[in-house]
Amino acid sequence: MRVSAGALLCGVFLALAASPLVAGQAPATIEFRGENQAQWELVPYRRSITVSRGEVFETEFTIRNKSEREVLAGVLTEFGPPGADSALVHLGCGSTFSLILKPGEAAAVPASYFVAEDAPEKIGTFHMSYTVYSFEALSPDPRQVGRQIYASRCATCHGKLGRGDGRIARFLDGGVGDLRPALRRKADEPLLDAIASGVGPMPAFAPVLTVMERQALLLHLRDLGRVAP
Amino acid sequence: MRLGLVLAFLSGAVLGAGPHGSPGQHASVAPPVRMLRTQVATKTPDSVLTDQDGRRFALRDLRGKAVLVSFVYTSCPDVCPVMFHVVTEVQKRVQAEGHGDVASVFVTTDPEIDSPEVLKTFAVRRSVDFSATTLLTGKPDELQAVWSAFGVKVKRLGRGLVDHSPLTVLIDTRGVMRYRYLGGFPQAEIVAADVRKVLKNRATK
Repeated sequence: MRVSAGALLCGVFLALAASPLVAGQAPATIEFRGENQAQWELVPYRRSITVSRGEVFETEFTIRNKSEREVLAGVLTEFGPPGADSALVHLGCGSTFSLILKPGEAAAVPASYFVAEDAPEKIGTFHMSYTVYSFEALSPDPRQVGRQIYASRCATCHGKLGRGDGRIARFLDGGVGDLRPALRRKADEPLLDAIASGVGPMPAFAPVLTVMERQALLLHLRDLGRVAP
Repeated sequence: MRLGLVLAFLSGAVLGAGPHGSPGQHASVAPPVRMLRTQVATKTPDSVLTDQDGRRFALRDLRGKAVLVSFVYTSCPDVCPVMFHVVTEVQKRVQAEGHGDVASVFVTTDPEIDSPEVLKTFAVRRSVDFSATTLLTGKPDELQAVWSAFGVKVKRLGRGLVDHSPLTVLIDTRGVMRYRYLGGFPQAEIVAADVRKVLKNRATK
């Protein structure tokens, strides 16, 4: 299996920064699950690992584009059983990725996690599933560019649909409100200004996104605003 | 696979599928343990970088204070805003208690974007108290040396997208590193208690 040299390194090396850990109580087993579809496959590096609570472990999966098109793929990491999302802590950036893959290309995506020491004792086995939530031919369509930017820079807080339910939202002072009413109500200029200059804890994106990229993002925001609450 | 727009960390809609609070609710819910706290006793790497005003700044100049050093970048769409908020809140809270001086220092992990001007704009917009808080940047090689000395791994994924160790450390008044907090959600109460402990130890010497 060919693995792209540009593979994501999200978090895999972070374990190296961790000092030796005190083993927690009961060990936990994490089972890794992938999927095999007609156009893509997601293969975990290993099937399972058993660790102490508080002990950093590394994960890796490989995604392969089995189609004949260059594609934009979005990958989610899901956890189970219920409650595992707060028990398994990612060390580094977000848990979901979007990648551009040429026909036949594969990419390895590593990451580091630990099982929180206060993870429910009754859960002895967790599972971590890798799933593709979007898989579309790469296109110069600004809407696709906007979706991509939103996914990489906004959804962590605003949530996939702008509902304010992103992974980080509950940790931000004041929380994150539902974006959609403002998207329906506000004109382009104040929205573009918010993207460029930031609002509250939200970063200013003028230093990192071009004017065209910010316009593309606005197109996607308008699409989100049209979705009924 | 192309970088740039290509690589991205994104939505946490699934990871964060727990009980998201609506605005205002979250504060009453105790967050789960989401950091690795390690007690250490090592000399702090001698780090000289450039602050938000373009001046050279050495960590050793903060001797006599408890110092929280956190590694973040200003365009981070992930955990850095949380780390920045927690560290500045702990600094303000413990400083106000009058046990001793507390300083917070933020070292960028993205020198490509985070110039002194960008750091200054970022800080002003967040009403940072520059008498207690410093934001640092530098040349890539000097930052690399500092990251390495603290054990922070940094990987540029695209313009304004950086994967890095979400590390915060606590340095005591004599310049000895005492605690390392690894994780994007440092818990304010725990970190504040450690800062108080560090200040108390100084007072009883």
